[in-house]
Amino acid sequence: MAIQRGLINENIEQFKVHLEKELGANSDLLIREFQLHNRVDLIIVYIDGICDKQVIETSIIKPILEVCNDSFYFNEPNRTTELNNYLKDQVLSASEVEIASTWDTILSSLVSGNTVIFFNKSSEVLVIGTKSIDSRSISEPTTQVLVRGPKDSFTEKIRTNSSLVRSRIQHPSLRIEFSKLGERTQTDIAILYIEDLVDASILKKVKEKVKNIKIDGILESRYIESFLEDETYSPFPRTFNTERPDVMAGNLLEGRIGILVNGTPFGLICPTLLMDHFKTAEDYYEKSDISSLMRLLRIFSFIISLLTPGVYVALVTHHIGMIPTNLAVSIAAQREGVPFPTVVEIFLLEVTFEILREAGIRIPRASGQAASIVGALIIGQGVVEAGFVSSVSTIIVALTAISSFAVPQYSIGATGRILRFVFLFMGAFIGLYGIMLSLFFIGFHIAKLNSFGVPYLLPVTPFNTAAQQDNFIRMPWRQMKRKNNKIRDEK
Amino acid sequence: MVRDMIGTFSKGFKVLAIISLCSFLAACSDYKEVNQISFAIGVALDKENDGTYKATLQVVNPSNVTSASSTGGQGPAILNYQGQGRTVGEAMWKSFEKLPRPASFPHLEIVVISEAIAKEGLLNALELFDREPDVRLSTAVTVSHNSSACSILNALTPLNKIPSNSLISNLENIKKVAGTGQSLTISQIIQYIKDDGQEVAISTVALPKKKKSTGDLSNLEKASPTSPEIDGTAFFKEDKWVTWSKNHEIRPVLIAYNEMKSSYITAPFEKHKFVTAHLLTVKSKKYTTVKDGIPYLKMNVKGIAEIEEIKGLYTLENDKDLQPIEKSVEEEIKKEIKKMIALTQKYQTDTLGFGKQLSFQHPSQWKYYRKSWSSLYQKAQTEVHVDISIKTAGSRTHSNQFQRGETQ
Repeated sequence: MAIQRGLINENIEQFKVHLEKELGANSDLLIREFQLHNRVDLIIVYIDGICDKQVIETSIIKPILEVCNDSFYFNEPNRTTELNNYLKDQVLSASEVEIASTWDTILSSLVSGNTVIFFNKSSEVLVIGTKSIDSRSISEPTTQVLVRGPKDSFTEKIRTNSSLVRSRIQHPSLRIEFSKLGERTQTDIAILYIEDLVDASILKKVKEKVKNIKIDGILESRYIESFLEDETYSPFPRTFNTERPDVMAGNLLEGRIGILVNGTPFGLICPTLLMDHFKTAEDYYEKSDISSLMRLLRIFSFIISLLTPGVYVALVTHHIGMIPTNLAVSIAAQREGVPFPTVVEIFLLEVTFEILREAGIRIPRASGQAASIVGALIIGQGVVEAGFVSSVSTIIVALTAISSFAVPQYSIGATGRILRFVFLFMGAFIGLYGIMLSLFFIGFHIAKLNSFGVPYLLPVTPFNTAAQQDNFIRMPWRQMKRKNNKIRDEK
Repeated sequence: MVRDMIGTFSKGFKVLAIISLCSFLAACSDYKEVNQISFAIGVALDKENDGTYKATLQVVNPSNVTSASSTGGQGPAILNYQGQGRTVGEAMWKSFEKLPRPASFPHLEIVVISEAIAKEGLLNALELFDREPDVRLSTAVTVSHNSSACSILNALTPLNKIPSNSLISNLENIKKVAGTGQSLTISQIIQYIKDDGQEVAISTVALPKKKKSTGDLSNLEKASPTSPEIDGTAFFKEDKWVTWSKNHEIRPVLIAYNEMKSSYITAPFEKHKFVTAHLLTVKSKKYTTVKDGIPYLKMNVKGIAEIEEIKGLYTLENDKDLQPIEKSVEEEIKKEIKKMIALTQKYQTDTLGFGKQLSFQHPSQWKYYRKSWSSLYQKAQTEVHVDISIKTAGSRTHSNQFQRGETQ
């Protein structure tokens, strides 16, 4: 039987049957019935666990019971509209009370945690805002840790997250626009920007893209991220995610747009340029000289993690003359008796390391130690001692691995992990020529990329002299001419 | 069907695909595993009595060089393979036949040429190395003296386990610290030989004593093992060896080319007194002119030195007292330079490069005298000025003996 989604005009029994039909025989659907003598019967419906029972008790049930014996309207079964209005305006002390009349509204308010009051044979219901989902309290960030800087991080609850940003930017120009996405999950998302700093054309693009998202469910911000990126495939991330409200606030101040998604502590920031992935919040909280050096170090370590295995294989197998004699002899001595070609050796070690890294994340905490013993002792030491791989190869792979962790953004680190293998094989095939060729291709590729119309390589190409004060190095705050509005001015 | 598929790709993608596929055409052409080649590190060229050439190829045995590898064995760090043939090239490839792994030449550090071949001509011997693209042109060349070239490479050396390597560092050390050695690279030698107006001088290597056991590891078990020494300099006219002189007599050549970084000189002064000075920077300027068919060669030398020792009683109180010392050092250097010029004049070989100087200074004269320069050079009038200033006397002033006299 098709469910009629029209107006309500039922008695309590019919209403209950209808509810069960729509929501299934849910055990967490609670219905509180009141049998009032000679008066209008009513039921209070809510879903357990996602609403605040305290509010229901003190601001709904208690006031109703207090007035039901005295009130005139409770004696008039045909004047339920007036009764609803009377309750809404004079009795209920809850902060959000609305009158609804369609099944659609009733159901969506119920599943989002609101409470519904229905009087027998009424054509309308009262919807009281009692949403309350248990959530984690604000805790320290786990993936973007700083030595100096605020210690709070986003939680799964979007209201908490937006409040964390709002508390940092206490200016009326901060806009937080809420909407719902996802056919079935009806996930709350918020677009954050600062009205007078944001570039209007970018904002329009972002809003349009978000509006056009057609998807069943959104459980994490990555779902949205993939819709926001341009259609061209690229291993380079074109949005930036952060779990730090201070990073979000800082980026909003630079004229960027933030997107928060309910249910995940990771907010998105767009548009994002390549260099943004090498900046950390700490760069701005520490002295400028040390943070500039650290930033250069991060770029350097990204290059190391990208190129080391490929360049090593290219030098050892194609350009042995480029290695100093003593080093060449030493490498040759270590490779004496190793059964695999250099490229296979490095490839196996790299893959082993990736397996260890992946296993390290998934492994149950109780058996974590076993994994590190296997990794360090058996694979690290045993393999070299058995002569399967040379120790210089393990050094190369270890160097690569450790420098890939120095890159602050996980997503650009992953880019390095993928491209590393391209360099490895090109280096093995045609030596340094192959490395150069791959570098050119990647250079062409990222020069072509853009994030919401902003060139990906921005302050470098097209070159912007003024923007160099916060690019590879960061000038002291006192000397920075333009502190904000980066995106708009640079573009 | 494939055609249709290709048609659907964008133009850019097609270009990219073609370029990347082309790159695979070169696939692994150069790919060599480092443990499947042998590093040729030194080559010695000898001439046998029957007129054939003998090439000794020194390759590294890597596992005996470093102690890092688990498969490291006992034994010498190098292996020498010999081949014989009518030309240097033939001798070389004959030696390849004996190698267990293909030789790789980028790490060739030194070519030792025997006296006999040097007297016959360097250009022929170096042709092979100049042509081979794998060989670095910075490979050094040295000449063996009083001993065969192969015996030089055969002698095992302490400290540096690879004899070729040891020889190179010895040569460089002598040039840098003592200023009494000249090592030239293949490209330099060929360039200098082909240039008019300057001739080549190369340090020579010799084994001090004839001992049979230099190629044994037991040689290394002595406190003073027999190892090759730089014993002097061979002077070349064009590419042929013409004369030889003892160790430090090469010094004026280094001064003439401003290549001297540091050197020591011991000069007599006053009565039975000697001063040893450390020459720090010595710069020279050459002037050449030809007047009435006679070349006039002038060399101005300026330098800074510090006193290393004073033998004999000497009071060193102020700058005035330095003057006799400076003068004696100047005289000594002057003498050396004059002697060197006289030697080269005798053999008509312009090792100091005065002809080159003339070509810079008076190109028109050089054009005229170019052909007859070596005979002209013999008749040249020379003039040498040396100006040495002593920077410091070290941590003391008077000589030790002087103080003793005081206290008595």
